[in-house]
Amino acid sequence: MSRVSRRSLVSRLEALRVDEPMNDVFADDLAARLQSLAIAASFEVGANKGRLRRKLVAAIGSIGVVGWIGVTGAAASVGLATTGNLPAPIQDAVSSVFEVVGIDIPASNDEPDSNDEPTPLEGDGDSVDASVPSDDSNPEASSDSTPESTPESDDDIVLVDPSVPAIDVDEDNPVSSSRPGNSGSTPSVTAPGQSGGNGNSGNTPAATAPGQSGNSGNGNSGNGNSGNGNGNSGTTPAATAPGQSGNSGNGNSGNGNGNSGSTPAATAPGQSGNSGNGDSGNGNGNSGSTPAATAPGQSGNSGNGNSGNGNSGNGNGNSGNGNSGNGNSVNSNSVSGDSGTTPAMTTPGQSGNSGNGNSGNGNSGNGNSGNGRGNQD
Amino acid sequence: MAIRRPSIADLKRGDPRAWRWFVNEFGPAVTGYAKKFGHPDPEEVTGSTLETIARRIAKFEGGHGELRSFVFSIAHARIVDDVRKRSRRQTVDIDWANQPSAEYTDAAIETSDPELMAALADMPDELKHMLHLRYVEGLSTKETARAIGKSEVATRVALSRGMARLREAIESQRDQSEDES
Repeated sequence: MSRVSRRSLVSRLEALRVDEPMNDVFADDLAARLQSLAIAASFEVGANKGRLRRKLVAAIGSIGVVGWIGVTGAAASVGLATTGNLPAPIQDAVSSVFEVVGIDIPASNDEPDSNDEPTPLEGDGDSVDASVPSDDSNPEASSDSTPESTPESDDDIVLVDPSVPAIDVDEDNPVSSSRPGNSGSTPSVTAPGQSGGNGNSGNTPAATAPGQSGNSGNGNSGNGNSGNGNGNSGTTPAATAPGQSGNSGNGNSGNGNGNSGSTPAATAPGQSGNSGNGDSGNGNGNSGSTPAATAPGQSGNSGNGNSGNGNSGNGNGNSGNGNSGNGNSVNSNSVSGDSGTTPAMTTPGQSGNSGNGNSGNGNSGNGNSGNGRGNQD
Repeated sequence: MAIRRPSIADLKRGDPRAWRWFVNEFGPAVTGYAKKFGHPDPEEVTGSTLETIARRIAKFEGGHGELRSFVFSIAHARIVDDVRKRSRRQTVDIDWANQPSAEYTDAAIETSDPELMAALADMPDELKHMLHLRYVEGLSTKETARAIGKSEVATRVALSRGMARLREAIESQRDQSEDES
């Protein structure tokens, strides 16, 4: 038996190679064709590279554009959803989705929250220098920021002591309403029972007749924003006659802080040295400083928590003075929201508070109440 | 006249001399390869194979070894496809692929080593292609594997078994002839 080695087998296989001779003409033609194909292929590859680069740039640009559109749309949607301005079904859907992640978006049927913080009004707490009396006798006109109108009620109730002759109110200068929180200028002269204007911070009443209300800074009542009114107290009433109301800074209805003015110098019996009649609602009727001396029946009250509102119980009336039947008795005045109409006339023992704004219902429960501060002078 | 071997970059650039060298280098080899495996039109296989290389040369990465395996892989695929197309027109057994190629046997008759060609004729086509590319065309095992489309390890094992089988076949033939004589 003959053996075949691997090496011999490999050499025999290599010997099988037979290169078929090619025709030169055929070979030349084939070479020329292959050359052309190679050049064309190289161009195609270059074109493909540029095409790929352009496609890449276009794809990235498209992604960027789509992304920006998406982000903008999402931001707009969230903004609209937050403010509850989307159509009801969409608002509900968005609300339910955001509720999952703990974000509170109002649904379409949600009521706006009345406890939201109010937006401060312009002119809050603006006060006029008390030392500069106004040229204008009209308390409204003297205020640069006197609002055009405040709802006045025809149902104003004024309690008048029949034993005291009434003092006519200046019809030419009716006390209109003023914008909450606007500090009024100093009522130069106010007739008894006049209201020195709502929300106008009282400067010093120059002179007040008995029963007059030198009030200024009567917080606004009845206005939606009355709670924001700064019932800035007036400066110290120089001297108040019996029955006078040295009130200043009648706080605002609602939550207004009716900070009292400074100390009434001296109050005669029946005088009301009140200041800072904290008003209805939650208002802090911070009292002024101590009335120097009060005669029996006097009302050295300050910070009379007011009247009969649902929120009146919350008012820090800071009374505790011997409010003997005085101050703000019955909280006369005004039905809901009306700024304190002035009790026409007060007798001693009466409440000299005219323009106790805001008795009653003024804005209690208004969404924006609660921010007013009655700054003490 | 022998042409100096150009670089792959020359081929990519479309140098006429480079492509003339390419035709002279691979044309006869591919034609003989196709003819060995019984393709009815070996020149057509050569032309289509070299054109495919020219179209793809711009994207080709590698040296001359890779180019050689690239050429024979295309030629191999072309030959196999054409042979299969022809076989579909006939009624053949389902394990036709493992049967010896009649054309290769016919071609072997014309060679000077009928004993070796007879032994090769009994082998499956894929193994014949491997042995041909590895030992007749002189490709490395790696290039052969790339041309066939197998892994290098599988190709190495197949070549080893093929050589053993070829040797046994030749020895068997010799034993038979001795017995007959």
